[in-house]
Amino acid sequence: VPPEIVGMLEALPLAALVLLLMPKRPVGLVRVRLGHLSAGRRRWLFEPPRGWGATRTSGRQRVLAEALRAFEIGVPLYVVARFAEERAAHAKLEARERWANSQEALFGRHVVGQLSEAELAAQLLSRGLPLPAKKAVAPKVEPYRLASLDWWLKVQALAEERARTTSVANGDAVGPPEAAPDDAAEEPVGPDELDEPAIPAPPSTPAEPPTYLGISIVGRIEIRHDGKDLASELLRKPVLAFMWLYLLLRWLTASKDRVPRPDFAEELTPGMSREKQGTRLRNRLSNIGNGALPASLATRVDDDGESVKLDLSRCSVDLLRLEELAAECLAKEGMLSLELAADAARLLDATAGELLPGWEQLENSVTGGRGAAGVFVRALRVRAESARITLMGALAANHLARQQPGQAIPLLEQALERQPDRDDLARKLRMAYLQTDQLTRAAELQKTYDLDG
Amino acid sequence: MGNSAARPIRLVAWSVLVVAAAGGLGLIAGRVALVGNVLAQAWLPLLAAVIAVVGIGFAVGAAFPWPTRGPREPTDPEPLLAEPSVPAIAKLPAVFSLRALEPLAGSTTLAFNLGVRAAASGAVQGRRLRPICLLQAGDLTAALGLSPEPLASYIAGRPVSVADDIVDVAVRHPTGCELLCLGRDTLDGHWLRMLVPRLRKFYDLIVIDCPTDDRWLRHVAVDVSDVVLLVGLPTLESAKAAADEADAAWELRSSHRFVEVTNREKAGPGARGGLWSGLSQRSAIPNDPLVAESDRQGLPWSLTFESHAAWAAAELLERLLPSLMGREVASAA
Repeated sequence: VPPEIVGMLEALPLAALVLLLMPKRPVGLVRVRLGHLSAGRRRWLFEPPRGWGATRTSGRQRVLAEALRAFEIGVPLYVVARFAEERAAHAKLEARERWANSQEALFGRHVVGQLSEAELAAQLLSRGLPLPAKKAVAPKVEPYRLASLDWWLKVQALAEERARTTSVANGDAVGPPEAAPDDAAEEPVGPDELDEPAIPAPPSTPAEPPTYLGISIVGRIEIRHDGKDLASELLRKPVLAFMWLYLLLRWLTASKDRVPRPDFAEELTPGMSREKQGTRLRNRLSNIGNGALPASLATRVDDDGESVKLDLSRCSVDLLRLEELAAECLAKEGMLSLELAADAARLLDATAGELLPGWEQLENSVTGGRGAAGVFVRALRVRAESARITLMGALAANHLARQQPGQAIPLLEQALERQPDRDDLARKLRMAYLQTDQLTRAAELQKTYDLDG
Repeated sequence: MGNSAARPIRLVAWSVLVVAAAGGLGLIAGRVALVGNVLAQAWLPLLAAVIAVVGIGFAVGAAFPWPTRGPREPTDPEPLLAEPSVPAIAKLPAVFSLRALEPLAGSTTLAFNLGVRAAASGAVQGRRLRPICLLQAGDLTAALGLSPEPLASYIAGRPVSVADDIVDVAVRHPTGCELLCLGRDTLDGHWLRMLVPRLRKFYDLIVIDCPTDDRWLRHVAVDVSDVVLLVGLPTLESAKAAADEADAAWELRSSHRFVEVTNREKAGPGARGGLWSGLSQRSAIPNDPLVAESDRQGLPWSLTFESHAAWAAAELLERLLPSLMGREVASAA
């Protein structure tokens, strides 16, 4: 036998030993893996042996799978791995036992319906664990008291009826009876409503010349002219009221722009054919011109055949007044004159509530809510809200400057309630709390808004 | 090593190499007397050593039987996950948002399961946590029976302010976690800015699954969150998006609040071991078939013992909210 062959045969055990001892895969992170195994964070040093987890595995398959693993990672590492894996398996078993009694397992069983709510509560209580959180509930807050349109019209009709009856009883001269409202007397109004002074007195407003049109749309709808409120008369005719108020919205949104007739017609009768829309609009506009609306409202509608616009010269609108006053007060940056502060407080009271209350009801009855007018209303509501909050902030700053933190607090709380992202208001409120020794509230506010100490 | 084709090739290659080296040694032994003498004297002990090593290996293999597999335990190779490095949120109520780095990255299921797990495991001042999750509408929310309609109607009705009654829109999950479903384009940045302070009044933890297609909303979500989890898959697309986000975070000087989360991390040669975005804080959730199965049924996988993802999510939550999550979380998993 050639000596080379003998040498090769003698070297084979060495080769076999090297192959058995040497890992034949990257083992750079083996320490980390062993650590995870010891901690029970994983089950296997590398991957599971082939066939593990199968429903049926023969002993021969297992031996082959293990032999392959041992050969791949080298016998020393295999031995270490098997010890560590055995330890991990024990840790897993223990964890499983602990898990079965854990709160997470109870919740898991509850979620899949194996435990009822009551059973879960009983199990948690028996372990001295807190019960699941209940549904968050909003505190009940008194909503704005806004009269619905129907209610308002009914009460107006009753008030007029009562006034006529009283004047007849007193022997006053009675004019020709006015036309009954279209739908005002459809439903009887309860005696309670008759006995009570149901109509709230309108808030006092700055004096204005009688020829002016005084339009209030924030918190209520009121159109004053020569001492009379024309709003109820307008709102009795929903379609015409919708048209007039829509033109008002457009004027407030962009005062210089006229509304093209096709746009107006589409808004009034959405979804109809162009011709029908045009005819309807023409008829309605001629109704306005023929005395269906009070003259002081009808003459404001400026129709040139191509487009329509509301002429609002010589009129005052509370929204614009609100915005002007808010800007004026904000510019003072602190203390306001007594007159200005009184004006601001009066206007805040007068405009408490939503812009054009009952608009959605009116829009639904006329267009089924399919038009785009709601967009203008929403935009104006944002403007009104923003102006009111600015005014509240300015009034509060005035109170703080006059060392009246107690009067500033409700204003700031209300403003912050409506616009919670205003850190500047939160700072002022915290200052007011501190000045009135409400330290807990100040601390809570500081925490909530992450204010600087 | 998950690649079944590469494994035998590698083993055979090693074997051939070593046997060839032994053959070479044998050739040298035939010509160099010293080497020949050593081999002649050593082959018997070497053979004995081989037998001993095989015997030890066999004995150890036979001594420890295979552990029993759990009823739903996955058989996939377990990836090697580093411990999550995430910032701890100290102040309460805590707010964190999740943002998917690519479609179907799993931010919604992760948000839901983190919220549920927090509700089941967390406690504050002796009472259980009340989290709320804002989840994007999708298959999971449909399986949970949630609709984006209530929130959309609420927002349409109150475009300028959020009142306390927003909590009436949220739906309570049996665990106590509350859920709000966000439709596409339901929420804008302004509204989210108003919403979060309001939710802080009622909830201990706010989890926002942030829609990614609205840049303004993303910015606001970063502003209002204590921590932002960038959830990506171990893919090139996610890695690129993560790198962009990391750049943006550095520009905003808020990278300390960003965490890279690699979802469905797999073991094997294709594993990237993270997204390599450059963010110093990272975490990983392993690939787990239980996740998809649970999502289809609208069930939280985070409350399943067998789920590898549940274990990682619990660990992530414990790091994020150390003051709220007891140690029982980690030990139980």
